[in-house]
Amino acid sequence: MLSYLSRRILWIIPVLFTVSIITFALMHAVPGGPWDSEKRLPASVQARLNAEYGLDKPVHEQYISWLGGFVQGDLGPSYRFRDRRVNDIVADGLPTTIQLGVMAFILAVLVGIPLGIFAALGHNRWPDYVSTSLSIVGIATPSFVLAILLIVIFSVQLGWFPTGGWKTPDAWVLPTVALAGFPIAVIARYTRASMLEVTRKDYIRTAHSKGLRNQSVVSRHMIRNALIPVVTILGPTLAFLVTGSFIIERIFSIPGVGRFYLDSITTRDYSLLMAMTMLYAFSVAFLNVVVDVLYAYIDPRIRYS
Amino acid sequence: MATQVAVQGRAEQRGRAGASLWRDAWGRLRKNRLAILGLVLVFLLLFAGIFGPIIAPWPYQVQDLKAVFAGGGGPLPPGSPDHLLGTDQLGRDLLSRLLDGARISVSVAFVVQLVILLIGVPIGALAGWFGGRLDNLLMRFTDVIYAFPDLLFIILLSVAFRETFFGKALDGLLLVFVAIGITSWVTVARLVRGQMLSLKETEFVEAARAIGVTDRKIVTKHLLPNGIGPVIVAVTLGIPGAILAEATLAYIGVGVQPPRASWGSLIAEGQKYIRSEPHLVVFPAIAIALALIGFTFLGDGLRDALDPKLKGKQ
Amino acid sequence: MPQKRLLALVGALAIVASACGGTTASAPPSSGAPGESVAPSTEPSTGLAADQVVRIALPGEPPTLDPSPAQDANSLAVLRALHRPLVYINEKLEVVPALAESWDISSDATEFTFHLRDAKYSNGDPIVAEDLVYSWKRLADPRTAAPYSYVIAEVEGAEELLGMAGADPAPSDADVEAALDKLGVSATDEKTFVVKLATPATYFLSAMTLWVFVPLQEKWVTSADAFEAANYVSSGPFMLDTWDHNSQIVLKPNPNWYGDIKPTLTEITMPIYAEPAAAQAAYEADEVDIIMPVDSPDVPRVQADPVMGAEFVSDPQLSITYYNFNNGNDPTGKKKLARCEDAKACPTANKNFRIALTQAVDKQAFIDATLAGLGQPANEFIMPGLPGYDETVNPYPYDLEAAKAAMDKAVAELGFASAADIPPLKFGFNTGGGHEPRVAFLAEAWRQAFGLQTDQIGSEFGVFLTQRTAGEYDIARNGWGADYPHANNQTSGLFTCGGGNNDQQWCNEEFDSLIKQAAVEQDQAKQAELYKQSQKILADDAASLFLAFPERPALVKPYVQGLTKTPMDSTSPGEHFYETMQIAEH
Repeated sequence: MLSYLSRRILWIIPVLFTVSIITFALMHAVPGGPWDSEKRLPASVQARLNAEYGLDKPVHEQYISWLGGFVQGDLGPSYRFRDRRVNDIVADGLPTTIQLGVMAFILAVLVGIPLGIFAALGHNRWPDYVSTSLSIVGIATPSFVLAILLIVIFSVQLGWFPTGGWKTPDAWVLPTVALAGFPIAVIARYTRASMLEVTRKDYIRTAHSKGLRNQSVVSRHMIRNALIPVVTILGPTLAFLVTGSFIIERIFSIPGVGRFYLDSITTRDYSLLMAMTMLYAFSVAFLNVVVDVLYAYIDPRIRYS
Repeated sequence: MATQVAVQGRAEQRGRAGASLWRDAWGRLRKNRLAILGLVLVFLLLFAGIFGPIIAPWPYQVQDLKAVFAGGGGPLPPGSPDHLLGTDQLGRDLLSRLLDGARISVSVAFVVQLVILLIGVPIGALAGWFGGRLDNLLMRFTDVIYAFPDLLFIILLSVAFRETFFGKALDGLLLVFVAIGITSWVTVARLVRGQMLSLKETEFVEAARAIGVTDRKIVTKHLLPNGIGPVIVAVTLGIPGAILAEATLAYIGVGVQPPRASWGSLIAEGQKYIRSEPHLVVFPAIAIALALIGFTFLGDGLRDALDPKLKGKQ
Repeated sequence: MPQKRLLALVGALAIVASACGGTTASAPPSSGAPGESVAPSTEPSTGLAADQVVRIALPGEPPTLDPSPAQDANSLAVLRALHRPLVYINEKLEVVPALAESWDISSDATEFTFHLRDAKYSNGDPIVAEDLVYSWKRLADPRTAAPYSYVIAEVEGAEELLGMAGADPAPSDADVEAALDKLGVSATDEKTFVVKLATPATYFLSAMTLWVFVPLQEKWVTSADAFEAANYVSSGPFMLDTWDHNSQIVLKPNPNWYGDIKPTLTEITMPIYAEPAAAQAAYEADEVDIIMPVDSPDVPRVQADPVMGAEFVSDPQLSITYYNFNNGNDPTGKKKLARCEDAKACPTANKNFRIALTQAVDKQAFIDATLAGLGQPANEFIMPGLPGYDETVNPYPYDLEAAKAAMDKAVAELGFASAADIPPLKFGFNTGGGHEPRVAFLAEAWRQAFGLQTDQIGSEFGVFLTQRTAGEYDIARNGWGADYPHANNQTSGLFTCGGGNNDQQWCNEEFDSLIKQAAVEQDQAKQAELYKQSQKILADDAASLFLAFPERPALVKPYVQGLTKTPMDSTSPGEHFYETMQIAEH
């Protein structure tokens, strides 16, 4: 197990390397640059800025210098925010984004799993229909629509929560709910599906035929085994939370790094874009390993060599 | 010689047994009420997508500005005989644009999944069949794709190639669909690989090998047809994701070129009016929800119907 | 509408009457004593509130608060409160004294001598003329790479410095220092700052109201983390108290502010809302006091609302919505663009074609349908309120019959059978800017009038700009807001041959010579006449599709009083004079 784990973690490095090369190449293939503005900068000024930031060098040279900085932990200067370094920008916003993502994740698990179990136990009766309908609404409503609805109802009309920001704990509520909407629905559906699959399995029928009371059958066998496939979608769920946060952060004016995920493309802030990509790729790759390990831990049938 | 024929005959019987698997599955599907609902919704979507322009009351880009100004400016609410579901601020009929959006959603459903199948199935099959180092290499390749920020990639790809012929095809949508497909094939590949891994050790494969059937024939004539069930399910269940991805991209501004509108871009435009004319958001959102419900229920039903463990038990 | 015309006329007269420092050797400053030239537009009706705090929504994080390289509207909204230059504008757009209490202009209008008043920075140091020499040199310095460095071009020695910016190989520090020494700015003593221009430029005083000409202390600007709140040094009415990046900016009054109107406000909080819907919701939830602009889709709802309707304000701006016609030239304006060698490939290069497109557009309907009715039709470029604006210019009014006749001529000249046979025109715009309805309106108008097909190409902003500059579109969306209130800013560089912002690559020698003449014409009336003539040429040639002078709607809570509004406000009404703002009891 340990050798498997260390091999998987080591594999993250070439994965990150490949992602960085593809992103860097694509980024420079896109027309336009960091100095684009409606009121055009004089050509001489653009040339000067390009020289200052090394944009006049060939792309592979730029990549090497970026890589050199990256391995030393220096993410470079921001192209858009001219007096700031990317390290500071990320350090400012990352804790907030992580906090939002973790809170949404916990909410999604705490609400989604019981909802799915509830639906499975009441299969084909009203609990199932209600829960499935809620899941469909959660999946079908785009997060930005959900966010605006929450703001209009709970902030503007009722005044229970602020419309945005991240200063006081009451500002955390609406964004967390808006971000968790989709994962709750997905987790609920997967939990329900895997619970139903488990009920049909042989060992449950065996337990039933042995005369075990329904309750203990449910709690001991079904739930634990049903959680196994659910763990597999936790990975993509966490990945969704990272990317989904950018819309939520924008609408709720939350000072995290999620919004830079998209903004850096529009403003062609190359170094910030690379930083965001590496952050995302690392989180996904790492979480993938965590999920696989968790999977092996929970399901005794799986053994990694 | 005689034994060869006999074995081949039995192998063919297995093939026929495969055919009756499909008939069993259809029987089970028919009994699943939710799945039938899903099937109906999917058919409605296909119908709207194919016949939309014919049944739409207005061409999707025509602006009925007279009606807008007569109504005092701003989008018209639903209920008028000319515009059953209302209009946007330029007087473009919402119902007609929804029907046009159905065409786009149908395209999403098929083009994206086609790309996923074209990339995912061969990679998964190769990895699963040959195993060993090729498997390892291909799986690490999927790791890279998986770790890649897909939104970023889709946007960069769209922006970089927007001006090319490829980028302009289908009003800019072909590029988006291919981009979505390129980032989403990993699940199908892993699925096919898994199927391949479990099926290749079965007896009839060993038997087929023993009588000299080529590897290629084994894969194409026996393994793929038997393993295709979960892939169909995955594809059907992947369509909602693709539709949602298109809606999110429309919100950012990547995707369909105006004046065409997808359901996603209708929502993105309409959400600015959510406080005063909510119908601009509600109707496209309902349309997306119905499409998602349809494909999800159908996919669930197909999965239940094709589950071999249920054969004969229901 | 008649009210707006009157305002424009009054404004024009005021500006013409105000600049009297033209021909004499020494002239008194324009109007009144320093500070009194500013008159707030509203007086508080009730008493003042105990809490003098205002919350103004900022649409985005300022990329920088360094005055020299600043160009973004979000940076400017804050910089206006933090620094003031030698001269400033008032609410009538007149140039009035600020840091300079008086100035002398030489008879040939090439030498300006400014007499500074006694003033201190927020850190207690006196503001001296050497600081102005430093900041002006910094603006011209190629190493600063300031986007607005071109406004210093008329100063002696500036051309050489500006040329060094893009030089390859880059000039050595020694070369740059040597060139900087030759720049025509000097401090004869602590309170006297002299500027020598290479050529007379009558608009220069107006350009000097820009934020790039403020005094800066060298020791501050070159220190580490100079522009973070802890170290920031300001010379204006307010100081930078806090800068929570991407979250909010807080300003507090500068105790050393030298102006005669001291701020009543004790704090200006500027929370950052990237999404207009979020700012709107915040205003309705009473979390913010001023938002500008109000998003177009929200305007009808806001106007009809019983509470917000009274708080809604919409004022004319020095800005214009105009769409480029590709004139078929390369970036120098003098040669044909490669793809337009064949006249059929670039129909918009044909004058009758452009006239036809112009006459097929009902500009008032355009404003009503896509700008929520806020604005007035534009038939030339210079905005109402500036000398040079000519409201009589309208050679091609909305007339479908005339449009069809012009189109028939164009079609015959180009060699097509009919307008419907013309391959779809490439109509470019940037997504995410709310332009789709405007583009769709125009495309549909032309389709209905002539059967003309257009390809509406919405691209991401960076891609759109690249394509527009390269001349890839036949028609492209564009817009302009005045940097300083003078017609020169609205003509030079925008329509002059090879101008930096001349995206339609239009080139007319007569236009260029008129602009050059106006730049040195010291008689105000003659100068205005020259600009008017230039606009006539522009309009007659249908150089661009001039659509509207849009207004900028805002919502202001009723207890925010003392706003001194100008047509150049973009983030808040009264943003040029936060020092007059007051909060009434509520």
